[in-house]
Amino acid sequence: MRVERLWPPLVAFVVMVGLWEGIVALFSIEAFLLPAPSAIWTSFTQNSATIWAYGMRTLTEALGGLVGGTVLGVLVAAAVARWTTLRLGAMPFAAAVNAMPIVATAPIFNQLFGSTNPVSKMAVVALMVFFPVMANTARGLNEIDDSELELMRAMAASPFSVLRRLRIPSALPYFFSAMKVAVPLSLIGAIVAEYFGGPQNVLGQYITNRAQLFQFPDAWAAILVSAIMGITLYLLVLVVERVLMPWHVSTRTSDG
Amino acid sequence: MLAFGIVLVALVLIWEGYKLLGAATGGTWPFTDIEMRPRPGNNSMPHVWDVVASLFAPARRGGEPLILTLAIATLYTLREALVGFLVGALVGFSIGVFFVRSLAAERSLMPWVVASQTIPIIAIAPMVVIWGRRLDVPGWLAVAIIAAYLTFFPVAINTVRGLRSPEATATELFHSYAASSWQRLWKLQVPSALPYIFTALKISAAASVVGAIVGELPAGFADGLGRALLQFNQVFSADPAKLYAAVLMSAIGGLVFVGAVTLVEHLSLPARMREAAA
Amino acid sequence: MDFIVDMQGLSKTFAGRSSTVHALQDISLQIEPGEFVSLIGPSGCGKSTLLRLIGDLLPPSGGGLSVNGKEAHQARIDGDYGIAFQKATLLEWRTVRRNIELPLELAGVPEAERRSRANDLLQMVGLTEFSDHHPWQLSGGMQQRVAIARALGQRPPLLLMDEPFGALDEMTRESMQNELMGIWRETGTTVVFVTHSIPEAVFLSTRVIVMSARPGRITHQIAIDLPQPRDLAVRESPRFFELLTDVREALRGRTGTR
Repeated sequence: MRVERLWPPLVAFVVMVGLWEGIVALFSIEAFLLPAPSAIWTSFTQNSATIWAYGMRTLTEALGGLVGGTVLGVLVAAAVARWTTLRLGAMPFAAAVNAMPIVATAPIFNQLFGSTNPVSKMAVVALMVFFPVMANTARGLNEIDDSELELMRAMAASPFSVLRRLRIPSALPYFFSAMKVAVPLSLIGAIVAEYFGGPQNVLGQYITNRAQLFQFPDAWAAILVSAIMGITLYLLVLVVERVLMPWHVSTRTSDG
Repeated sequence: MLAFGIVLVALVLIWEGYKLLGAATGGTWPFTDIEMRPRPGNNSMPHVWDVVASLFAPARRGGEPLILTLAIATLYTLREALVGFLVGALVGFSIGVFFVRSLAAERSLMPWVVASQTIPIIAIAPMVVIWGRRLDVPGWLAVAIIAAYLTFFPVAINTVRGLRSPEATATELFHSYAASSWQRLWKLQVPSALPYIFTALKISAAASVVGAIVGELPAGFADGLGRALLQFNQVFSADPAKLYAAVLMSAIGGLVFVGAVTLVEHLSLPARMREAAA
Repeated sequence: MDFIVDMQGLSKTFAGRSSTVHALQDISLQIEPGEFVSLIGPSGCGKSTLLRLIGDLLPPSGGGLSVNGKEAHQARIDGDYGIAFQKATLLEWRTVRRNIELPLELAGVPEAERRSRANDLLQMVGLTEFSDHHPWQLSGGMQQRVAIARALGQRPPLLLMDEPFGALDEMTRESMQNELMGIWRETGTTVVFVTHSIPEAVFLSTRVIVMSARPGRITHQIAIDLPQPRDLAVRESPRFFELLTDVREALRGRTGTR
């Protein structure tokens, strides 16, 4: 049943790519203006080894930051759920930090850890990922019906038991919601953090370098690689979600 | 508000505490030989008060105080972001209204709208700017376009959600009054949608500032926060406080922008409705 | 006398994915001006659907329907009825006063006239002090009073009510019923009232229409000959209990008339 829903977007995609190729050919549009899909593909296959190698480094930065930010986010969320007085301080602070351009801290982390050190990029990613994970998980841990809590108390459940059997299962949907946001964010964050300086053999630098030389097909090929990595990670999250929460219908339609 | 201040003070204490520890042990973790990373010395981690002090000192010899330079840079960046944000919000809202009034339009165009977001425009912002420059599009306009792109999608999606949010009986009520669909749009659907739209606007406002800063990174921008960050990054070894000051101003810039949107929200919506669409 | 609602062989079917639902079949009913008619029946008997047919909020599948001497569609356009739902459905962003003014605003009534009419209505339902409050500051019963005031804004000859007191607690419900009786006497509006509650139907109505489900049709019409005005004494009279039994047995499918 799900496969049927894939056809229209797939067809649309093929049509779009075909149109794009056709328009570029028909109007002889120069590569710097609008690269043709075929040019991008050529660049992709030719530079494949390089782009994937760079991609792996960027991916490492993204994953490192993702893990760090997620772990920290969950821990703080758990603390906030346990000691409600922390909530009053943590939530408005999180909301405020969300309004700030965290990527601006990239040059600072470059200086603190050394710009060639991947940790400098991981730090930026961790900071970006921390807040959605913390806010969503905290919400999930707290949004429990009073009646469910009373039920646990009536059964003389220990606080740890309540955590394990009630709060964590309730929080899982919120956690995965946050992860679906955090995963693409981590990749974007890594790439953007790289723009502020660092080793040349990473995707972000590759993209800007090729763009500076107006070699846009190369830049787009690199973006294609990052898109593939992003989609793969996202699908992984979906798989883990399905495994851990088989009872939860978490498909989202545009109607919400 | 108070709680916010407490967290801030706590963070300052951690910062200064870390530096104190470093000063006491000579830069290694106590009872070990492991070097403390990041280095707690004044060369990489200036004292908080030094950063604040640097704001009021001249940026260049005999020049204006740093805070003024940074404020001007911030305003430059915010202006680009604002233009894009406003255009994007208007476009997004219009798309949302269009989709709700025409199911055919929604069915056929929504996939494209969603697909547009698979392109991580913040990540390619510098590329867009360079591309634009090649096409003789001025840098600030390219950045504004980036901000508009970041804004229109969340606003469109949330407009659709919000316009469809009134309960069925409310729509029946308006039918019973033989209200025109225009009346229903402006007197029922749009007011119901406002909480959702503001949620999207706050997110987009923050994203627009990020997009603007990142878009300013390629060479050729004389003004703006992006340039300031790169510039002070270069003189870090001579004067680290300046970079921290620039980051601080960036943070304040983002806060001001989102804060302004939040203020408009508070003035337009009674408190009860703001929690409705979290 | 012209009937204010005249249904001849009215029917309504809903086409579902796998089956058709016969919500209403062969409904014939005439309502005279000034009556208070209750529709009562089990879930799925189509009483709410019937109400919406009268209000032209749903189109009939067959049969004849005239409201206030016109096509139901025209009656809606002319604002010949007011409607109140189980959920008060007040607009959260408007004050009580502006909620009551809503139909007048939509009809283009000038502001001064709107204000004065709203003031009259607020007085009628006893909520003048709350005119600048917002809906969430009011209790459920008060919200329903606002909804009723709003429904009467244009002085419509017909009032349609879909279980308006269904979400209220028993005591509030009874006091709302008393108020409704007062409003009905004062305005002389014809009321079509959908309910699940037998005592409510008997207390309020001049006539109770009993319906049954699958397909929805009228099985009994019971004239309620209790004295006016309906007050506490009426609730405790022997005749009231007899009529309760009549309606209950009619709902069970047993005919029993006294």
